[in-house]
Amino acid sequence: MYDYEHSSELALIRRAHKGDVKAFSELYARIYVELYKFALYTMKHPQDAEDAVSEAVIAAYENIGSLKKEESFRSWIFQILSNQCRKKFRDAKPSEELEPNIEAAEEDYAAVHDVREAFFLLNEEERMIVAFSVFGGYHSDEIGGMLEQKAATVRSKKTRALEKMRRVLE
Amino acid sequence: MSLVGADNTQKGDQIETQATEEQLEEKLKEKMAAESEDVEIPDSLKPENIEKMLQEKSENQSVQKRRWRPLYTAAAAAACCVLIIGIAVVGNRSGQKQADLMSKKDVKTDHAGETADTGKHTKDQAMPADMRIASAKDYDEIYQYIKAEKESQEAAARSYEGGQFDEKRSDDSAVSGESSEKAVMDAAAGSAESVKSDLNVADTGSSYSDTNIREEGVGEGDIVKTDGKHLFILNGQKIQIVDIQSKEMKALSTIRLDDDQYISELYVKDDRLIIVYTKSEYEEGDNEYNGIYKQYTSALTYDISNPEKPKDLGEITQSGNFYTMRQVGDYVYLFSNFYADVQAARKDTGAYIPEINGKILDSGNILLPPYARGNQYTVVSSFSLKDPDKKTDSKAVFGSAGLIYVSNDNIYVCEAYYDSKDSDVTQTCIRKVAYKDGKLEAVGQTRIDGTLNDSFSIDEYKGNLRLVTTVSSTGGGAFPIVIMDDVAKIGDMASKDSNTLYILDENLEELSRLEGLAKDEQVYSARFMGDTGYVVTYKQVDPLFSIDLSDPKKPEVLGELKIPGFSDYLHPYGDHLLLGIGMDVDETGTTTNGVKLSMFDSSDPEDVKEIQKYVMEDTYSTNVSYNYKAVLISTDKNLIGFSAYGKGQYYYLFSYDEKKGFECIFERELNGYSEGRGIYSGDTFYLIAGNTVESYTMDKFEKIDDIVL
Repeated sequence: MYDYEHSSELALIRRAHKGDVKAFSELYARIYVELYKFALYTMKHPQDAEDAVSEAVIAAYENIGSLKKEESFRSWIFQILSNQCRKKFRDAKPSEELEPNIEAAEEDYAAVHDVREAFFLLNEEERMIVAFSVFGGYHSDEIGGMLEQKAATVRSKKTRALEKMRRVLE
Repeated sequence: MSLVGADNTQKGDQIETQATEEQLEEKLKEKMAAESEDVEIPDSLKPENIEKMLQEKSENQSVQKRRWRPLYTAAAAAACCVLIIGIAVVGNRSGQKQADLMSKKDVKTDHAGETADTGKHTKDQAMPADMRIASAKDYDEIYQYIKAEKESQEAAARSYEGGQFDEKRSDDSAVSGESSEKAVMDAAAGSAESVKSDLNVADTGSSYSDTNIREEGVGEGDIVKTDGKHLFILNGQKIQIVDIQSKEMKALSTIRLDDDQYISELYVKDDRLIIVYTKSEYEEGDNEYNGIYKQYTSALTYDISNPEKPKDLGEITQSGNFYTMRQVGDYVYLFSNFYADVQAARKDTGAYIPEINGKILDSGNILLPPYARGNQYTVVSSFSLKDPDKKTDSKAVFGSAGLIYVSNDNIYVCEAYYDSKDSDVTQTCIRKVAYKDGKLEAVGQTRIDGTLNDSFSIDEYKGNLRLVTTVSSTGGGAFPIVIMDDVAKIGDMASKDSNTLYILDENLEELSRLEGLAKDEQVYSARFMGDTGYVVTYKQVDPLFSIDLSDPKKPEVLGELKIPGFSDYLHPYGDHLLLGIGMDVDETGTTTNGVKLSMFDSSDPEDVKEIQKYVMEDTYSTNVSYNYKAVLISTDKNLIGFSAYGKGQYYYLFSYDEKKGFECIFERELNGYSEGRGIYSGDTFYLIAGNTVESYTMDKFEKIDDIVL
């Protein structure tokens, strides 16, 4: 039996390329917690998060052949997941995703119990940027690459997002 | 990856009341870490359940998959086979009568006799209708194809069972589309360079090394280049020029591109430096939810006659993601893959027709696929090094995009084609476009069985095209595969794969074929060298086949050598020697022992031997398996250089001696994840990785200098 657990990412990608489900699952097993947390903090509803992850996994599995071998599986699947999240935002009724009113949010910040709730002081794009840097550990330029935005734009959006959360955090 | 600035505390001291952004982020991380610790992951997302779900999908006939290559189930253990195929060459036309001798089983003789002597004639004359390549009459015609593609995608989405995708699936292709494009690029990336017909290697004693390329005489870009006096290095958003004329290296100048311009490659020819980059531009839609990102590929040329002050000479830009570039004579050929938006309205031509320098490409330059639908283009534009801000010519090969091979005179665009209604095996559509001095001209098209492993599986020699494909069933089995969202069922593939060698003439008409090579195995690497072809196929043990190609109408298997493990990359190494780089696998085919170097002696093609072998223990992968440009091979200097991954990324140099075998003469850890490149100039070896360059003497590999850019 092939030793999946102790295989390198590249060896697993190579196998997954050839349709090895186990190799793909092992790649997934190494990061699924981060993926789910990313989705959970990005999407409002846990069900949406669950759906986004499972859709991303299927899309990744079906397109594993397209993963450029030298690039990391992790960034690649994160990008697919963020696309799924964005798609879900798009599909949602626009009215549900109006820019949150920061004053109103601050008024009841006392009621914000946890960071996840604080996250919803942010708009969807800010949530993704912060989730990318916290759960993905990505820098602004990498996030820019995934969201197709300039690094500088990502940096300023991130600053704005952190400012919005300042009162909850301090 | 640390997200906290190193000077965190300092800033904190200065601003006592307000936490810095870094501190805020750090706090956020702590809080989120604490809080998300008890986040419960839904059962459905647990790896074991995902595995089960995917396994079921694989077994479920109605599932659609987009696949460039057929899948293997994990069960089949690995084995490797080197099939040495001697494939005959064009020139030998006297042997026409031999056609009669050909076994019917091996060779299709339909066209063999009549077309061999036609020589160069005009394109459409005497060419069967289905081999003629047509340009689009107008954009309406293309739009019809795109609509057909959309309908096919939607039909596929409707038939999709049990998945989370709904009818919006065509929308999803935006997600997967990007990656399938990469897939195609990827499939092509693993190729290597070509060989002179006399079996000598490409390096002919030049004083400095160049990128390992696919076809001799056809230049390719890479992340590092040298002209013997300077190094040109791609470093993030920058191109840096380093003077290497004295022992002490000196950074001369830096060209920095904008943050949103992602540099893919650079190329240097005389006093011209070409930088190829991709950028995406957001185009507003009718409302804030339907804007789209459009990808563009640009080639930006600099005059580097004064390398301290490179001078911008302008650029050309075309739609799509960068695929590759080639340079021949005074011309550069830029290739990109462009995705049509299948949702586009008819009037919105910019969404489905490629643009060159901001102008929509004329329909007459768009080559239609041999089937009535499509959503991707391989866009190629040429420009002169003398006039690098003007395009000379452009063509867009419309269909599904795929692997590209560029010979000295022709461009071949090869697309995998799976349609169980048309054929019960996987197929490849090949379209041929001739080029000369920047001018592009469509020649013809054909379709053959099987799919290509990489660009080394296709090779032009004396006007003929030789290909080796892996043929898989598209029907009757339990393992479904879909390309372009048509269900093509791959059965018990482990038992149905086989490999076919084709020889086509200059009009892409079949001269001969050899079927049934290495049943149940897949091509892992191939190399055509003059009148002989070498093919490594793999399942459990790795046979190397040699095939005699000297009579193009009658290729013959010469020999077969079975060795454990496999070679991903083959490269001629002097007379009668063939270097293989791949993985060593134990006899059970389940455990890999490390990256392997093999030297095959092919002096007797009927009895090829592995005469030396070296296993790099504790390594698990090398970039050479995926990118031929990652390897430095010089028979002149007796050097084989590449990086491999083990405990970290190391760059290795080997020398080869017939008696002593491979000897590791240099080993150096590379920092970080940047791909490393080794280059030599004169008697100095340069190791470049990310922003660091180190120089070493070539006799003892003592360090001379280093520079951090």
